Amino acid sequence: MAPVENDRLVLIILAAQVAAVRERIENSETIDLMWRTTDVLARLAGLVPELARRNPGADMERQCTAAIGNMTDISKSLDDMAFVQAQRQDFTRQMADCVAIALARLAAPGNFAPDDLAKLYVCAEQRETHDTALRAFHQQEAAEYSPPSPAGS
Amino acid sequence: MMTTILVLDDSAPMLMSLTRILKNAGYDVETAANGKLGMSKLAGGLKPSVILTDLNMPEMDGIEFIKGARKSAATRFTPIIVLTTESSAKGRDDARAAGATGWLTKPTEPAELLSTVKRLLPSHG
Repeated sequence: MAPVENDRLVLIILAAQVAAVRERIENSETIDLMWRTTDVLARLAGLVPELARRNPGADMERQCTAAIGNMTDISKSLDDMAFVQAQRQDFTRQMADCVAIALARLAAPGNFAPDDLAKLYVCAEQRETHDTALRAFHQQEAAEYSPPSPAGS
Repeated sequence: MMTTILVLDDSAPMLMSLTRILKNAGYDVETAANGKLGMSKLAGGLKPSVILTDLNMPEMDGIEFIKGARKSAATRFTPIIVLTTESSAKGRDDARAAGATGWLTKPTEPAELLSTVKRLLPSHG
């Protein structure tokens, strides 16, 4: 196989690999587990008053009230954490989308330049990473091609 | 009558999470996975009090959706909040020019989301 064909094939495979990573991100079970835990806690909180009713007493009443309060607090925290986690997951998924599209474009005939890549970005962090990588590349290139300084200077 | 919020996002976990946060706060929630489906809901007679939309979505993105919603008499003045990973000034300007009312950058906290929704509700929640 010609080198160019090999390069194209590698890019196509890499695009598929990134797409698979994206699927894993999208189907992460962490958030679902948080929601399921919240739902279970809500059901348990609903049963606690019944426990208090069947075992009357000031101490039981106090413990049940505290348990409901704790469960409510934990449920809210879990829902809040799931919300933030879902946003981070969405962010990572979009970055993976960008890499998969870029690889597919590289594998297709035609030019694909850094400016074309930049058009795919969906957030400032991607642009910052892009700029940092470009700066590092140019610095390295300048260091490699800078003429040797005169002896003794 | 419950206040209805239309939420658009192409991420299923985001849609579910937003739905839970908003429902827990007492709002009725309708969802759509992209702008095209959101427009279908509006065309079907849905009259949300607030719309919360992502920008980067397949089929029809958030900017096109906002433009479409602003052309409809039913949602011409409905507050539209953009919730997106995009944080550039240009993205914000484009959304504002299309007719967006508010802007939240992901990741945001539930409290910030709810306070923005409440602030923009026609009756101030």
